[in-house]
Parts: sequence; structure tokens; C-alpha cells
Amino acid sequence: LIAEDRARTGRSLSAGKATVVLAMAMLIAAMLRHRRNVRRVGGGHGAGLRRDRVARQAGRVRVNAEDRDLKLTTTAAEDLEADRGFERSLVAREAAVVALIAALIVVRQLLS
Amino acid sequence: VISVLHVVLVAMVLSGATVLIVGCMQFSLAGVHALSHPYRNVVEIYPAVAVVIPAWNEAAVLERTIDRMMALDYPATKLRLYVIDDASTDDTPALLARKTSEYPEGVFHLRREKGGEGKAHTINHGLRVILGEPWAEAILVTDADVIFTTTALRRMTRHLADPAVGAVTCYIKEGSRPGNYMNRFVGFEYITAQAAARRAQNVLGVQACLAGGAQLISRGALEKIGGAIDTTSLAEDTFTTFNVELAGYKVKFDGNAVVWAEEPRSIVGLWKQRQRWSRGNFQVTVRFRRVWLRPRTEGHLGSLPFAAIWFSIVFMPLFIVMASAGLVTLFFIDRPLAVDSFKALWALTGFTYLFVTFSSLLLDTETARRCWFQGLMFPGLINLLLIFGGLFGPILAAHFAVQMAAVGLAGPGLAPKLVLLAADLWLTLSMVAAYGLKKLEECGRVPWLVAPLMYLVGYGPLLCCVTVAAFAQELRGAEMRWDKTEKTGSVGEFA
Repeated sequence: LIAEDRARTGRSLSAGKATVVLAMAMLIAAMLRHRRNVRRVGGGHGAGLRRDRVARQAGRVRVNAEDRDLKLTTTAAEDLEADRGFERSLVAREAAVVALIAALIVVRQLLS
Repeated sequence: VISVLHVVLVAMVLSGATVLIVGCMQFSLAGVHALSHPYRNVVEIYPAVAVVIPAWNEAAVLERTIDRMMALDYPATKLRLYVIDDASTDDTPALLARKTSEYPEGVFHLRREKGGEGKAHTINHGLRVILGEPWAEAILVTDADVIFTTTALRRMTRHLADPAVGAVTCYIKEGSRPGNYMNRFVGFEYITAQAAARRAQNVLGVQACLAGGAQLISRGALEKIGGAIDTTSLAEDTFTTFNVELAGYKVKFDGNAVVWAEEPRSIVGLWKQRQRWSRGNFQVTVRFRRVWLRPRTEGHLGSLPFAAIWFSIVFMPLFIVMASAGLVTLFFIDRPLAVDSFKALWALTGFTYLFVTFSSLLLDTETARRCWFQGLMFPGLINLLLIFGGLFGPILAAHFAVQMAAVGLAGPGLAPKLVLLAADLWLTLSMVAAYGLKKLEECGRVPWLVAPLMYLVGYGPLLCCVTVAAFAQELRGAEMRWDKTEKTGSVGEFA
């Protein structure tokens, strides 16, 4: 495609191809980020279901709050780690959306 | 030749893009929320929290709310519930008598013999009692139907470890089970208006509103704003938020602290609730007029991004009507420019729709599984056709023209022009259609038709229409009535 484009326009990379490359790069970055977050605290796709469980497994820090009632089920440290992981995963989610839209724009350009 | 009139008309069209650009800005900021280190100064603390629950004839929902509140993951000795009974005439007093004996150290019944003054007066009655004693270190104002998840309160109180933080709010989710189409529209809306928008406001360092059903305020902040909340408006929660921020405190949103609430199931119910909110927003806009666009104002309330967010919501219908008027005028005086403006506006609308919708669905996947269809249909089917017509219309039209030419039927006709004119007008007409839907539901003759038409017209135009109605009410100085949203106790079972 690039060779054909060069022959046609004299440029090695048209705006359309550049968008494709950018979209692919963002998609790969989003996937890598997603994998890292899942490994860390269960962020990324499905995090809403998984993060508490993963955070409990990863909850190495337990806070000994003396005045805490016995009915507390998870520690605040576990909650905190899970919440931080979820917030970090949002970057990847947004990147995935931007990649999707970029892909749609490319499709539209190709159609026209 | 481009005249001044052309420039003005194009500017009017582009004013419709203001809302879209601000929407994209908010969702972009929400995505980078983690980079603002929202949990940097968080420490596990358990201040003594006095929960204020204003209640007027809430027997249907109150018992469960109290039981759930007393079962929170929070030290029992640090939690007290003050139910402020606003002269209820149902079983609320009897229920509270039972609950106070069941939880003698935890539940307190404060009754006002003269009620009907509104929620703010009821809350202030409770605050006077609570602040009259030294026990409470923080006050949580909530509603009788709001169900807290077990860790929600302690997820909120941890922010108060930072003395600069004066108030915290959380993510209120629509919890009616089984919900109907309207509940699911609201469920999706809350992802955008709370989970995303409030994260964005965290990044900007300023919150527009503590959600009325979950306002945790430190005692220091509450005393600094006078120990009471505003009683002169319909947006007492927004007034409290602004006042706390102007007093020099930060207000935080914790999107991982979740509570569930019952929201309206019908257009009429939603109309009453949102009209109250919109009127409240107008009142805030006027009352805090010295704050807007003054960057040196305490708490970033005067910043440009915050003003953009605020005014894009308050004046959204105005921008939309201006865009529509600009397009229609251009249609008659400069058809090519009208087509270009139309395409530009709808292309931007299409981009914003995709960005906001898919970001929302990924932001709260749990809600998305339930409300994805309402999320996709949020602008309405007709608007969706216009969006995709704007994006792919020229391509489709070109293919159509080729096919027509092949059978000898090509040529400019009246139909495309009428379609374009109708599309230009639809921005405004959709609001009129939404008003018609409300009337249709009120008359009650064809209840089965309301939901399908709602999908056709869209939930977004309905919200715009409510804002216009609220603005009209406010302009003519209509009486400020607290139209209570009926609660039936339909919130599902959540952990």
C-alpha cells in the first residue's frame, strides 16, 4: 500500500496510512497497558468484577487499626490498592476508545 | 464573498459544538484521573460520622436504609444515624420508634412537628442538634432511599485525613430492580454525569456538586460555612459545595465509593426531578455571579475550564437552538455553506458520540452490561441517523446517485433539500418532540407507545427540554416547590 501510495502521490506515507499506523500503535499500547494492570491489581477489562478479588490476593499490606470494629471485611489498604489500580486502568480504556474511533475514521476515509 | 452575516451564522452553528467540545474535554480528563494522584493523601481513618437522613413519609424505604447503614463496614461506635422526620403522616414515626429501640446507641429520631418547609430546612434541624454536641467529627447527608455499599463510607472518610479536604462525595448509581427503560437511561446518564464528569472535576481541582444523596462534610468545613445549608434555593447541595470550596476547602469525588438510589421510572417523574435540579442550577449561576471566570477565586471555581463545564450544561438548549437557527438561515441564504456547516457539526457530534458512549461503557462495565442499549440510543434514533448521515451520508448519496443515473433517474430534486432542512430543524424540534412525549405520558391513553417514541426522540433532547422549562419557570418567578420524587423501595440487593 505504501509503495502504491508513493507512486501515486510522491509521498511515502499519506495521512490515511499515518492514521492507521497511529491507531494500531495506540491499540497495542492499550493492550500492553491492560495486561500490566491485570497483572498488578486486576485493572483493565472486567476490572469491576475482578479487582476486589485480585486486590485481596495482592493485599500484602494489612493495616492494624486498633479501634476498628471486627465486622470490617477487607482492609482499607486492599481497597486503596484496588481503587488505584482501577484509576490506572482508565488510561488504557480511553486509549482503546480513541484507537477504535481512529480505525472508524480510517474506514470512512477508505470508503470515500 | 463571506459577509459578516455569514460569519455570525457559522459562529451560531459552531456554538452547538461547545457542548460537544466540553464533553470531549471532560472524558479526556476522566481518562487521566489517575495522573492527578487522587489517592495521594489518603489514610485509613474513622472519624465519628453523624448521618443525617431527612424523611417525609418514607416508611416504604427507610427501614432497609437504616439496617444497611448500621451494617456498614465502619466502627459501630463511630456511626450515628439521625433521621429527621419532617412531620410525616405515614408509618415513619412508628418505624423510627422501633428502630431506635433496636439500635439504641446508633439511631436517633428527631421529629419536626411543623413540616413542609422543604428538605433544606429539615436537614438544618438535624444539623443544629448534631453541631450542638461535640461528638460528630464529620456529617454525612443522605436520602432515605439511598443504599450504601458496605465499604462506601470508609472509602469516603479516608479523604478527610487530608485537612485541606472539606467534603467528599461518591458515585451514586441507579439501583431499581427490575428497572424499566427510564431507569436504564438514568443509569447510563449517571456514568457520564458522575463517574466521568466528577473524575474530570477532580483533575481540575473543583467539584460542581456534592451528590445530594451522599455528602460527607467535615465538621470544620460545615462550621466554617455557618453550620447550616442554604434554604433559599432548590439546589442546596450545589450551594453547600460552592460554599465549602469558597471557604478554602477541597471537595473530592471518590468514584470507587458506590451507593445505590432509586430514580424516576417515568418521563413525568424525571421531569419533576430534573426541573428542580435545573432551576437550582440557574439559581446557583445567578447567586455566584461574582465567581465565574475569575481565576483568583478560591477553589478554582473561577477557572475557565470549570466555567466551560458549568455553562455548557446550564445553557445547553440555548446553544442547540442557536446552532439550529444558524443552519436553517444558512439553508436559505447560502446552501453550500449550510451543507458544509451541517457536515462539520454532525461530524463533530459523531466523534463526540462515539468517544463519550464507548468511554462510558468501558468506565463502568457493570452498569454498561445493563444499560448499553440505552447508552447507544441516548441521543435518539433520529439523531443517530443524522450523525451517521453526516459521517457517511456523502458516500451513500454518491453511490445512490450513481445507481439512479444508471436507470436514468438522476438529477437534483426537492426531496434532498427538504431532508436537509428537516435535519437542520431537528436539533430544536427534538426538544419539542420530547415535550410532546411528556404530554403523551401524562394523558395516559397509549402508555405502550411512550417507550418506543422515547428511543426515537432520545433522552438527551428530553433533558434539554426540561432545562428550557426550568428556565421559563425561573424567569417568571414560579413558586419554589420541593416536588418529592416518589420512592417505592425498589432498589435491588447489592453488596
